[in-house]
Amino acid sequence: MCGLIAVRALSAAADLQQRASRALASLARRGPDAEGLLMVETAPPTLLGHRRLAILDTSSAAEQPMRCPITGTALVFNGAIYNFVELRDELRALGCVFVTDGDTEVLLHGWRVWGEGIFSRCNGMWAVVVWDAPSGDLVYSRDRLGVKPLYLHHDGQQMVLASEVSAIAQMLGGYPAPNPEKLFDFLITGFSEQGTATFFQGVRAVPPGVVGRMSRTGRFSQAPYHQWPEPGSAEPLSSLELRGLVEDAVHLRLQADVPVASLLSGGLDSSIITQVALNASQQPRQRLDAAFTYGYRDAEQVGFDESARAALFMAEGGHGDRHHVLRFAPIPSADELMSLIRVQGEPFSTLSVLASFRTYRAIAEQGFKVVLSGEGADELFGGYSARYHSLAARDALWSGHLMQVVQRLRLRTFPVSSLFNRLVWDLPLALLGPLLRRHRPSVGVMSAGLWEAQQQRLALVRQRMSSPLEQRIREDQLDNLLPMTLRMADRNSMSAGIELRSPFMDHRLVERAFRTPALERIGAGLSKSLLRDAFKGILPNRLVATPKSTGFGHAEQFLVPQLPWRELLADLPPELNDFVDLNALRRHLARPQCHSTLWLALSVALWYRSIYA
Amino acid sequence: MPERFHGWGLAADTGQCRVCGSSVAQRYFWPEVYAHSGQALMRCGHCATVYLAPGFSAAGLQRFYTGPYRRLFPAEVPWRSTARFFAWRGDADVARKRFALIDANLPPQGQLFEMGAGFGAFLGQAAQQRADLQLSASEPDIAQRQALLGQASVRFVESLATLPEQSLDAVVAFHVLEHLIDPRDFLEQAVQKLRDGGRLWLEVPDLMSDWQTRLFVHPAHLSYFCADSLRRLAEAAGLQVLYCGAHPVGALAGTLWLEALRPTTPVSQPVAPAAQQQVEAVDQWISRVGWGYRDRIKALLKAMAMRVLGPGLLGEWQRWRQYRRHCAEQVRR
Repeated sequence: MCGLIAVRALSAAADLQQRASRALASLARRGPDAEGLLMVETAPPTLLGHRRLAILDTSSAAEQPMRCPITGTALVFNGAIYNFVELRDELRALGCVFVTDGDTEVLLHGWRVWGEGIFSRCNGMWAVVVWDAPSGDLVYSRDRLGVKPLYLHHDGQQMVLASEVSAIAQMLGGYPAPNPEKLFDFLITGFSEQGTATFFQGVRAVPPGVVGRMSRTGRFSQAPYHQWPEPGSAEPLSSLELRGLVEDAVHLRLQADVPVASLLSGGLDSSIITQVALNASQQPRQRLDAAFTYGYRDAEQVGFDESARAALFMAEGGHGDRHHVLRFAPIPSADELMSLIRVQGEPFSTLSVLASFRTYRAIAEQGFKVVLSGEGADELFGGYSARYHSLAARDALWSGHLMQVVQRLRLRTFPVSSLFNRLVWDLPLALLGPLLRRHRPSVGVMSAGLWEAQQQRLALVRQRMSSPLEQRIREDQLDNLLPMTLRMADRNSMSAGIELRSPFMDHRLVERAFRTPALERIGAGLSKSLLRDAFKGILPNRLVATPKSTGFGHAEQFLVPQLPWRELLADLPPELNDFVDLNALRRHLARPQCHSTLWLALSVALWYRSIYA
Repeated sequence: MPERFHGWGLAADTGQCRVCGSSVAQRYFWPEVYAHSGQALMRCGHCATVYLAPGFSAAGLQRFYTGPYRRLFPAEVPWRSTARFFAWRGDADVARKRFALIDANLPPQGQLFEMGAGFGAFLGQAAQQRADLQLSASEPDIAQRQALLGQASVRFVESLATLPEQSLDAVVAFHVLEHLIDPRDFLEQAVQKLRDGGRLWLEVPDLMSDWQTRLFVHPAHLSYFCADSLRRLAEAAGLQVLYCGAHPVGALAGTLWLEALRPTTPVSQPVAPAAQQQVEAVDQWISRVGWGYRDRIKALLKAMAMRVLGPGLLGEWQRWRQYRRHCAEQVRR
């Protein structure tokens, strides 16, 4: 788990090494333990840089960039290959000799032996850049789900790859201009990660599950190494199989040479992860040292505080001594809020991420470097019941199955208003546009210029929003909610020097879930019915039989008007008005009742301040 | 209604130019409306190439050509009489004209390779006029590739990559480059397989020709070149361009013709940037093409005709119109 950069200049470039050093320094918080920058070749000038967070084999022998002693190939790697022991055994049988006890060297030898085939053999999360000495190609790849970030900027003369956009900005000598298309989409939907575009013009996220390649002469190619299966292409996932997969995924993710903790919200997903980890052998590389829960200091937020549930869960299992509750005031100071905004680097959809931002810092202060969390379970198993049940009702309505609609409404798993929210997206554009502008504050405060200039995007947004449930849940997992969650989690954890590991993101589990029809995963009543069935009898019944808990930081998202926005929205560059009507935003925020989507516009304004002011 | 194909097999959208890889100044024009594939027409601000994004994955492209392609393009579907199909399309006539352009530059017993040989019309003509030539080709449509070969003896191979280095005297590709996922890769392979002084001839649709409807853009054509962008691409692959511009054959107006030489020491290099005026000219040319109600109605009628008549009959009608136009031109001359 680290930060990386790779640069290839196709024409003469001044100060390449110095700029690369600055770029690498901007990633220091991702890797506080070591730094390495290597000019791997001079024609064309090609650099690999790495900041290390030492987790597996913490000795200096495992530092990066790491070079292959046989071919001279070099690589930089951010992430963790959980099946590295198994792959290392295979490679040893093929004659490879290892001098470290970590996963990076396995990738290096695996590249020499299997080439691009190494990626489909890996179980893990990664962003990796390989300079292949025999061909001179610069090869880059991300894991199947894009858990680990990798961004690209290529202006035809120079390609930069980096773990964060801030490093690309250092290489370019400044941030690229804002991407108006992305801002438009975000203010309408709140989704920040659809597709590979970022909020910066010309900066793209490398797509997950592909291998990209750039030759010495700038030839560029890309090919997938992985395809996700379609629903119904195999037997659906059974609860027994699911439990086995989750247990194995947790055990693989306990491998570390540093202390490991878990996030425990008191809900289903984090309790599963914590329980399975506590049941592991507790031998080296199989031990959970602590569980952390986020709670509130003030009585006003008691309705959102689940720390008592979490404490009870740990105490019942006899692990009360390993449980820590971290308490905070929900309203951040202006400094803390701007610190979060800078760490995220791009606008983000919910202020509830403040909770994990604070939690990772507190966990790191106690000496932990690896944290297990339940990220992805909600997206994979349909945890957002109001969202998915209302979509199912809409699909039933359009298919003429009125009785199904009535049955779904009777279950009361979503408010009727949510069904209307879904149906709105099926209106003609001529009606939809004015409705959004009038009734959705984040759209209402969009500048007239942005609204007019990006009208053609409304049709694309509408098309996505009106897709059927099965497609929608898949998009949520691959191109929407999950990538957004992963990005926010990566930035928050890495800013504290914490490696976040998410067992529900194990690709074997995700593949099996994808083959299972969405409604089977979600269930008709309580959400995530498949997951609940899998851990019935293992977890206390109150956890598997009660509705979804609120999770970390639920209170924050309702407190937007109480944020210190007045001082932060003062003295902003006037160019921001090209995207957001600041006066309108201030007016809305000053009202006692504030629509939750207003955070989207505030997030854009604060992001703009952090980057361009 | 337009025919919809599910599971198009599109690749992940990288946001990068298909030709030069640049991620900067990639301009979006409009969504592809011929087949509603989910792709969009883009223009690269660095090299001025126009392309559809996202492209196909290799598996998706293969699926596309074995399935939707023939149904999307009824003019490609024979109906009842294959003799009439080819006569009205005029394949042999066009092939004769193309061969006449390159014949003089082919050495005795020369090795000629055609990428995407289609129905085999060009190779058939080449064999007829120059029995000494050694012909090889790549064409995935096994069922149709012999249709117009006549007596020609052609060695079909999986791809250009399978041939030995510096083994060819000529490589030709007519209306192929625009279909490829990685056009530069093909050109670099051609450089590797050509002997010193060997030549490459390309024919592609001209982006700057007088097209008036967005239906000009469709998922089979992934890249759209003007003479300038085609020339710079060929040069980046290490070729020495001898000619790149309007097609010398009048009947093939609206297409570009490129003739290039493999130098003794080919130097592959990054694609050179386009002049700003060139980028602006391309932008202007594309922006002039609207999508008004007439275009929409026309597209709808065509899709309805396809449903009612089927691709065979509709294709026959299209070919008949093309043949009639061709005859009228002949008479005028």
